[in-house]
Amino acid sequence: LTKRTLTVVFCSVLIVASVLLFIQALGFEAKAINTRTPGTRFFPIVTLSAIVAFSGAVIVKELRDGARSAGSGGEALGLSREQVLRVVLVAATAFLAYFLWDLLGFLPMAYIMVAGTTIILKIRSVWAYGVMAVAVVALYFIFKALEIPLD
Amino acid sequence: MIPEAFVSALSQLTAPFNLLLMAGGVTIGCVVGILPGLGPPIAVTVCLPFTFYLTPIQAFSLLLGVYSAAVFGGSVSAITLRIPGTGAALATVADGNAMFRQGRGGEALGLALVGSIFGGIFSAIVLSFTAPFLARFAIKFGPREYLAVTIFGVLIVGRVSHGSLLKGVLMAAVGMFLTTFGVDYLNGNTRYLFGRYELYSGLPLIAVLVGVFAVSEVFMLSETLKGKPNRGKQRLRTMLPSLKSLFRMRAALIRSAIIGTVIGIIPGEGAAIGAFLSYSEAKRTSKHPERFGEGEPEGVLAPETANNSTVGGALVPTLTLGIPGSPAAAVLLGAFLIQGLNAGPRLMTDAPELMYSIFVGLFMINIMMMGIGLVAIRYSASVTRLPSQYVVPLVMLLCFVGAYSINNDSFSVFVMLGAGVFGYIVRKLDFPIAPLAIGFVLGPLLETSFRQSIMVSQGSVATFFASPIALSLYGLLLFVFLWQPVRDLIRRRRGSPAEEQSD
Repeated sequence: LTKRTLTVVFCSVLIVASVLLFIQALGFEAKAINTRTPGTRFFPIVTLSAIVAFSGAVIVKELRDGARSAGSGGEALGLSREQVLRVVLVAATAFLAYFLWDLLGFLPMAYIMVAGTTIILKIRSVWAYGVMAVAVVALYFIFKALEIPLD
Repeated sequence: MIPEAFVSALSQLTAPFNLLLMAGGVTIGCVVGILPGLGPPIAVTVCLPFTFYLTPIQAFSLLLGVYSAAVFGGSVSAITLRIPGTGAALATVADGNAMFRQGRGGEALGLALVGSIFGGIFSAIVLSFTAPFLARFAIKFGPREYLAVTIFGVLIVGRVSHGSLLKGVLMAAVGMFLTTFGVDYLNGNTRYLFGRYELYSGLPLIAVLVGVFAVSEVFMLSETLKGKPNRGKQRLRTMLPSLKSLFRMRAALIRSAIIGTVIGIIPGEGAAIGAFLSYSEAKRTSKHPERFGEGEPEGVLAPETANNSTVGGALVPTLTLGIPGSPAAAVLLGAFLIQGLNAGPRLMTDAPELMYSIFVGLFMINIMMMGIGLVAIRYSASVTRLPSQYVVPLVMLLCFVGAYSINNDSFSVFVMLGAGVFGYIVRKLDFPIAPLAIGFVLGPLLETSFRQSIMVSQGSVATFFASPIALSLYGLLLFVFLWQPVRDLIRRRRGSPAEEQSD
C-alpha cells in the first residue's frame, strides 16, 4: 500500500463521516430565537463543509499527482508487516489497560500495560523491568500524596 | 500595582521550592529533549498532571523549564548521534555531527548550549517588553478583532506547518470540528453527545493534546526496535566558546535570535522553521558558505540560537491573545485551564504576578540551563545509549495518568487513546498535527467571536471588515497566501522559471 492510496482512503472516510455528522447537525437549532444570530448548527456545518471540501481537494491532488507519475504508485508507507503488528499490539494493550483500570484498579492495570508493552517491544534488560516496576509504584504514591486518586 | 506584582513574583520565584521546580523542569527537559523522538510538546504534556496541586507560578516555573530545556536537549543527540532529538535540532545535524566526527564534539556542544541560552534570554527580553504592550492593545479587541486574529492564526498554522497547505488546513478544520461536541455555551443547546454525559463539557482539551502529541509519538517509537546507538569512543565534555570567537560570530548570533523570536511569534511549528531559516541566512551571509555542512561552528550556533529564541516568541501570542505560538505553547494553554486561568489580554490585569514570573522565570531558567546543561551533556552518554523503545511503556503510563487526572475519570483516557490513534494515522500519511491541535484550541474562540460579531451587527457580515485591525489582519493574510503565487506568475511572465529562485 502506498501513502497515496491510503491518503485517498483516509480522506474518503473523512468525507463519509462528515456527511453523516452533517445530517445530524441539521437537527440542531438553526437560529437563535428573536435574533439573526446563527444557531447551534452553524459552526458544525461550517467546519464539516470545510472538511469535505479540503478532503476532496486532497483526493483530487493525490489522483492528479498519481496520473502525472503514471506507473509509480507513489511513496510506500515504509512499514513492514512486523512493524504494523507491533504498533497494533501496543495500541491494543493500551486499550485493554483502559478497560482493566475500572475492573482491577491502577496498580494491576499499570503492571499489565507496562509488562505487556515491554514484552511486545522485546526489551530484555532486567534493569529496565526493575526500573519500570519501581516507577509504577512511585507514580502511584506520588499521585496519592498529591491527593489525586488513581483507583 | 505593577511594581508590587513584580516584587511579589520575584519573591515567589526565588523561594527554594520554586527554584527546585525550575531545576527539575530543566533537567527533565534536557533528558526528554536528548531522547530522539520526544520533543517539547511531549515533555510538557507528561509534566502537566504534576501541576494540579501547584500554584500557577510554581506550575509555570516547572513547565517553562521543561519547554526551554527540551528545545536545547535535542541538539545533543543531533551532534553526537546524527539523530535530532527534536525537529528543531534538525538543522544542527549537518555541522554539529561533522564537528563531532572531527573530534570537535565538545566545541559543538558548547556552541549549542551558549547559542540556546543567548536565544532564550533574547526572546525573554522581547517577551517582557512586547507582551504588556500587546496585552494593553488587545484588551480593546472585540469579537470582530478576535475573529480576524483567530482566522489568521488557524490559516497561518496551516500555511507554515510542514507538509502541504491543503493538508494543514484540513487538519485545522478537523481540530475545530472536534470542539463542537457538548453544550453550546451561547444558548445552552447540546451537540453530538452520543449518549455520553461526559461529553456535556466537550472533548477534554488536555486529553486530546496528550493523545495527538504524546500517544501518537509512542506508537511511532514502537514501530522500530533499535539497538544501542553507537557514538564512538569520544567523551562528551563541553568546551564553551571563548568570548573572542563569540564576538566573531556576533552577527549570526544576533540575526538568529531575531529570526527565531519573530518566527516564534507566528503561530505554527516555529522552532524547526526558525532554525532552518537562520541556518540558511548564516550560510548565505557567510564568507565561507562552502564550509557549511563540513563542520562550520556558525552552522551549529545559528540554528541553536534561533530554536531557543522561538520559546519566548511563541509565548507572545499565547499570553496576550490566547493563540498558541507553537505546539508546546498549545499544551501550556491547557496548563492555564488547570490553574483556572484563561490566557489572553486580561491575563496581564487578572494575574500580573504570573505574567511577571513568566518573564523573570524565563531569564532564570536560561541561566540555570548553563549549569544543568553542562552536567546534562556530560551524563547524556547514558541517555543517548538508551534505545528509544525503552521509554515507550513509561511515557504511555504517564499519558494515562495525565489524562485520568484531568477529571478523575477514565473517559478522558479513552479520548486520549482515540486522539492518539488518529494522530498516528495522520502522521503516517504526512498530515501535520500542529494545525489539528491549534485548531482544537482556537475552535471555541472562533465560533464565539463569529457568532457574537453577527449578533452585534444584527446579521450583517460587512461588519467583519469595519474594524481597521481586522481589516489589516485580513489584508496581511491575503498577502501571505497570494505573495508566492503572484511572485511565481510574475517570474514566469518574465521568462525565468520560478523554481530556480523559489525558496
